[in-house]
Amino acid sequence: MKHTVLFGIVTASLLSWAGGEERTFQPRTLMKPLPAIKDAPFVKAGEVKSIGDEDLVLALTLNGDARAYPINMLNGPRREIINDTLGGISIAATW
Amino acid sequence: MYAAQNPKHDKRLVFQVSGKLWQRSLVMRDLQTGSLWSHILGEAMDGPLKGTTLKPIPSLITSWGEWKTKHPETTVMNLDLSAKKYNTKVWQDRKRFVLGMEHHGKTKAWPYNFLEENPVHVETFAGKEFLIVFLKESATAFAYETGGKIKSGKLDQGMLVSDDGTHWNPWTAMAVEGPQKGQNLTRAYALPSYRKAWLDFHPDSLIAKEALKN
Repeated sequence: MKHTVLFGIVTASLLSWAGGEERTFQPRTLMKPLPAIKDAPFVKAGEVKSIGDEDLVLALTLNGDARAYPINMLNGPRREIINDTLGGISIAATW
Repeated sequence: MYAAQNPKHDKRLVFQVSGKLWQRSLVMRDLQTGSLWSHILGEAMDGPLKGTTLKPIPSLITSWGEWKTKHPETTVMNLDLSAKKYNTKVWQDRKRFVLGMEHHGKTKAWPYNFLEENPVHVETFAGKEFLIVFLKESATAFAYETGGKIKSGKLDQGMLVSDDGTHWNPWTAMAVEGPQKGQNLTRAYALPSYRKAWLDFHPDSLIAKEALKN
């Protein structure tokens, strides 16, 4: 048993040292899954009051439709993914 | 930014924050299959869709002022603020940020200080020729495939002027004036990222080297 574990560790570090393609997916669990955001409100450019010209946005155009997500509204675990539809395409906005 | 479609049959996926972190970065979970996804790689790392990859969608990080000027018809998300610190001052220490690209299994990152020195940069990477354009004021980085249309260029009043005198609008990727007027460039997927985070996920990534200054 001990040897198996050791071998696992050695293999993993060798792969990582060799730059191998193997990725060990070992996430840390910090909290329960959070509710998905599916119905965020969107307004026209002139109607948003809480952000200024120097504030950062994640932005894109898709099939002719332009949309911006202010980074100051995406901060924190509850806001990290916005489920949305733009230009007829379902998207997940993350940064 | 990803297309929220199941790679196996194109049905919509809705994502939630899984509550897990991997290599200090977000792990997403889709409600339909419960698969766990790396948001940096766009790949399902565990669950029924393990090994499949979401289609990335080119997007930008820029300033609100720049974006709404270039896209006056834009809509904007309007939730209450969850932070206040993310403005153009974030980019002050350019070295901490990279534009990362992945092509044919190879990865490369261009540090923002490199892009500031080389605001119009053409490079063949993993067999394809790419163009990166960098607007200093807002630290906005655009990536395109050149498609052989541009060999070199410079920025002039926010327009990209290519070697043959064509004026390209970097925001729309369209040629608005000159010999190639009406042509457009294909946008490439590139990820603005912290240098450290990029290297956590792509330890083998190439990194563009800044010219040494005397």
